[in-house]
Amino acid sequence: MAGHDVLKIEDLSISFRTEGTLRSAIRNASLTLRSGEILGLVGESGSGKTILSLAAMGLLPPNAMVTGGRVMFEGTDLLRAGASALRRLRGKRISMIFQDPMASLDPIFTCGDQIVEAILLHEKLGRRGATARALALLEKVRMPDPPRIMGSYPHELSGGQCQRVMIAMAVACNPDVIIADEPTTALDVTVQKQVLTLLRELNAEIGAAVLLITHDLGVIHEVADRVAVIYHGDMMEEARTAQIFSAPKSAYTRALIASMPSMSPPRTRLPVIERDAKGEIVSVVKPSATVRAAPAVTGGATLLELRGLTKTYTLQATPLSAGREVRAVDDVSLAIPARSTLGLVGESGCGKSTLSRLVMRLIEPDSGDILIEGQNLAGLDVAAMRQARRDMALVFQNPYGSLNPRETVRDLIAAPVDIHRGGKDRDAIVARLLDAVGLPKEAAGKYPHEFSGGQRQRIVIARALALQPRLVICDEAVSALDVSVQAQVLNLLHDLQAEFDLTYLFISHDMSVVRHVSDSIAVMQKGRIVESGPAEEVFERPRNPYTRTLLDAVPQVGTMQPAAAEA
Amino acid sequence: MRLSGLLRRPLVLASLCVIFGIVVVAMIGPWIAPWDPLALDQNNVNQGSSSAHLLGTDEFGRDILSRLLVGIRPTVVVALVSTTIAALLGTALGIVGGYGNRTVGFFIMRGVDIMLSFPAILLALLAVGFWQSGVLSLSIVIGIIFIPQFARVAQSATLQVLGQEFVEAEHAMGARYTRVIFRAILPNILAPLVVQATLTIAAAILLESGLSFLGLGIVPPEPSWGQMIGTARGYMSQNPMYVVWPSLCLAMTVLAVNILGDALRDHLDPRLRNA
Amino acid sequence: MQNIGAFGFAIGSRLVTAIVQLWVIATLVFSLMYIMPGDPVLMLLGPDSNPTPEAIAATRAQLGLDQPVLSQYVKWLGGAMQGNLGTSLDGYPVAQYIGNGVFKTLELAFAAILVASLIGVPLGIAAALNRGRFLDGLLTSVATLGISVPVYILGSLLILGLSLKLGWLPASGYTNMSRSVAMHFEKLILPAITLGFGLAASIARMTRSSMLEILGKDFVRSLRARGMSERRIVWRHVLRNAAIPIVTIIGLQLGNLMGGTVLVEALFNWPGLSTLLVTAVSNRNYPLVQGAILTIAALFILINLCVDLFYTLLDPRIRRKRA
Repeated sequence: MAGHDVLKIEDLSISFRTEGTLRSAIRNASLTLRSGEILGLVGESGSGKTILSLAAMGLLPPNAMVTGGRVMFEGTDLLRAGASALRRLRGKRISMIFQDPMASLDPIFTCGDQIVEAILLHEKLGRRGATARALALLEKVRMPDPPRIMGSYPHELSGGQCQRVMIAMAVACNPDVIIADEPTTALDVTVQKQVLTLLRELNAEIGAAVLLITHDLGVIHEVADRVAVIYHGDMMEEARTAQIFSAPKSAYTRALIASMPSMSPPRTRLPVIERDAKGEIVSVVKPSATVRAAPAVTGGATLLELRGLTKTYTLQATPLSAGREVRAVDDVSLAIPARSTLGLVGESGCGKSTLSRLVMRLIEPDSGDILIEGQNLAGLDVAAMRQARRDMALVFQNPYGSLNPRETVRDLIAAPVDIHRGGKDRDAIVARLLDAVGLPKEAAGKYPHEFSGGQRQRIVIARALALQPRLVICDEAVSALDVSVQAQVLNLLHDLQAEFDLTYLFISHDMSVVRHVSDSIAVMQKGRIVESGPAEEVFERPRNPYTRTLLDAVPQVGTMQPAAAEA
Repeated sequence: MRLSGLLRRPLVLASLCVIFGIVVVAMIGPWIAPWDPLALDQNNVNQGSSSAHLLGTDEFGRDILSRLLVGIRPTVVVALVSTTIAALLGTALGIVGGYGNRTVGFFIMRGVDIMLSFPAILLALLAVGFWQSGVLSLSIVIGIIFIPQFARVAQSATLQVLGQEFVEAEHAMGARYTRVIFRAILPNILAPLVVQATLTIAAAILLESGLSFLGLGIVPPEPSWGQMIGTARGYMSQNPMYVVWPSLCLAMTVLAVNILGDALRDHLDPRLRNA
Repeated sequence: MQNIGAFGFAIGSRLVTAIVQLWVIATLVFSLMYIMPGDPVLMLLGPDSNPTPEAIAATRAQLGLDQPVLSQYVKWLGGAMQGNLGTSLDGYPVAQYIGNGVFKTLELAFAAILVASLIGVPLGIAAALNRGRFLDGLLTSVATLGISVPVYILGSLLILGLSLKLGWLPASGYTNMSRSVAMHFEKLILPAITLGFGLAASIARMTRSSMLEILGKDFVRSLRARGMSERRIVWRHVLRNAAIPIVTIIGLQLGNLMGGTVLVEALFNWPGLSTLLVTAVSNRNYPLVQGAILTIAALFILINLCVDLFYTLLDPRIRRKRA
């Protein structure tokens, strides 16, 4: 069992001052951190989880105001402690790990300098002693070649390595409390696994209380002992991890877990979080608005076929040195049957985004064929290619960047109609599409910044459908969205596939999302397709070792929990 | 891009009033001047303020107030015409430099670099020194000199916009280049260009008056502020206020334009707004 | 050792760029005689005089204009590379005039930059650390005033006040160090302050915005979370990061002063390069104009080159760019 209480957040309420008014961010939140235990704090964006963690360090931004409660650590209230008292605690007794490891390190000092400085802030060791300690710490966080890392600048390391340096600094003075704010969100899934394992082991070793803040229920399930759920500034519930997943008490937690793609059978509509007539949170699976049945999965004619598609970039250290050829996309062959979904998975830098641009020839391929219903796009001239783009559409990851901020939703959605049909029937088409993606008619006159991320993605999807394309390429289309919004957008894509006879090339780093939407899967590593086949086969019986590594690294909800198994 | 917030700031409002006043005087100056700005009066040379000559007289006995009121016009015309020239050509070059053919873009931007490697006043000095000076030639010369600055701003803003996904979305939809330029790029680089235009107006005023100060700008006897300051420098011991009046007018004008430019930049550039 | 290779290349390519720039400018300067309207010989002899064909031919020969253009170009370029900038119309070597002026301009420019940095950097830091408070507002307003007041106005007012009314400092001119050291520096003070004030304003603005940008970075928050004092964060981390753009802007301004001193030199009768240039332009002394421009441009390019190399050395992200 866990040890004694170390840090207690009691009845904490925080508001933000914005233009003369107070906006409540957290209401009456209470949390207790115990030594040797990992407490997961889970919530979607805007839930107040980061504010809560900053409050625990006394690092609130100047426009935040504590309206009630206290944060107790060894008999002191951190919210009312003086600056020098706080300074003595920070980094020594309470340390913190942030989301973006690269940005959290000073770019003009070496990692060694920064670790040594962090140690000397709190320990009287002398430079030599601190350097020895720093090397030992790097060893402890399993960095290869610690002396080299000591002399490296942050930009010379990968994101995962930077996060290890941050962790080394966080544990440098054997703190009692470690607060980790989304420590693995910026990392690839295999690196995430390594960092989480490291965090767990270090926690067991130094016996600190860890507050792990994340939006990812999978991460929580993997490493947390206890979980607290926060929603719009209100604590929904707190319980042991196993209990949260097996028998969640609050309706929100239940709904949140239910909306995870891995909790529903593949290729079904996901439950979404709504409020019923009485304002209570409920999780509902709504039947599809369309009456048509789901498309035939197999046996359809091939819509898109790629043959030996290759794109090589030449990286040169200097324009005079011999170039190093990097095959971003290397001899890729794929086929997608009409009206089905091919899921393309891979980690960052594997070439999956390049592939999506190659298919539309937004990047010119070096060699290979792109066949859409037998027509080879690779041989088309500029004008013909422009015409061919009528039949394809691209949905981007970032719904904030993919809409021109200076145009109204009407102009945005009608853009393909303007380009290819001279704006014929644009208003009627816009009205129909807004309806299809579930946005009100009045949306047409507004600008993108007036919408939330999920709504913007609906606008992007509406635009993609304007000319009734055959193929829709979704490049990380739901990756920037919260789980509950993600469920809504995935449902929308699901419905539209039936309604408009769409074929999807669905690109994502998120294995559970891909598993949920795909009929067939292709796994990409270093520009090559290492495994492909029907979704079920790839996930249940992976043949390629990389696929297996990838699948193992994914935090799973619903299987036997490691933490619980140890207890 | 809501500008109402700007008007609530007293300094900005005051600057707008100053600028408005200057433009009005530039239009009607000759009609409200109490004296003929060219009329010599050998009996009243280098006089201080009096009821007849509110701001005194210059070395030829001409009324300083009248010369100030009339001397605005060349400055305003040069500033506006040259900024228009620089804005139109600079923006076009910048967009081509950022979005156009790579080789063409490379040469445009290297040309810009070389032009920028000369202080503006030296270029102006050379051009005006060898050509005849006058309002029109000054406008053209100063306009050309400020093209590179505009091109730089337009190019870097264009590159920033090109990095965003909505441009790629336009290409993915099969948009032509003209559509991409006029629908996606231009509206999104307008903010820094407006700011640059304001700053260019201020810089053009400074450059024109600097040249006139050196005696290379507006040719006497036609008055202009810079030229008045240049002349007054020689009579500082006889009539100290002679140098003060045009200096005050010029400094106020440039200050007003700069305050407006700064406010616009803070307002339009979201990065600086939150900084 | 790929890192060193990349770094070495960055320096090499920067050097090549500087040389190409210099060559392009030298060529432009050479062609000045041809792109400027009107026959330089007729202009030189005066529009009203009615010169004999012999006089025209003699002047033409004096300017070397009787030779083919290409050989003139090669001769000019070759001479320029050896420091021979031709002969001024009054018979003296251009290089001698340039040599007289160049150090006076450099002295004035360095003095101004020194004044500007000593005022601008501390004020910019103070404004950034007091962001949004009264001091910030005051300093920002003064800085806007500083960049708006033309140097010759500030200079005129300073002369009016400090030398004509109070008689503290000489109004203008230049005294050789060999004649009187005290006098030399007394005459340097007013022009240096005049030039430095406007520069100080833009340095202060740049310092303020660089400091604010760095203060907003994530790593500053993690330094606070590590228990570092505000003082140490500001002086050790924020300032060192902000120093890179600040030093760059100071260097670029120093470059701009090669020629940017023209108004101040005219106002204070400072016999530097710009004064030389203005005189040469009004006398249509083409060889002297060419020499002065080429020198100013060369200094500008040289200073910018140093700034770039310094910048590269200062920033590890450029110094040790990942290949």
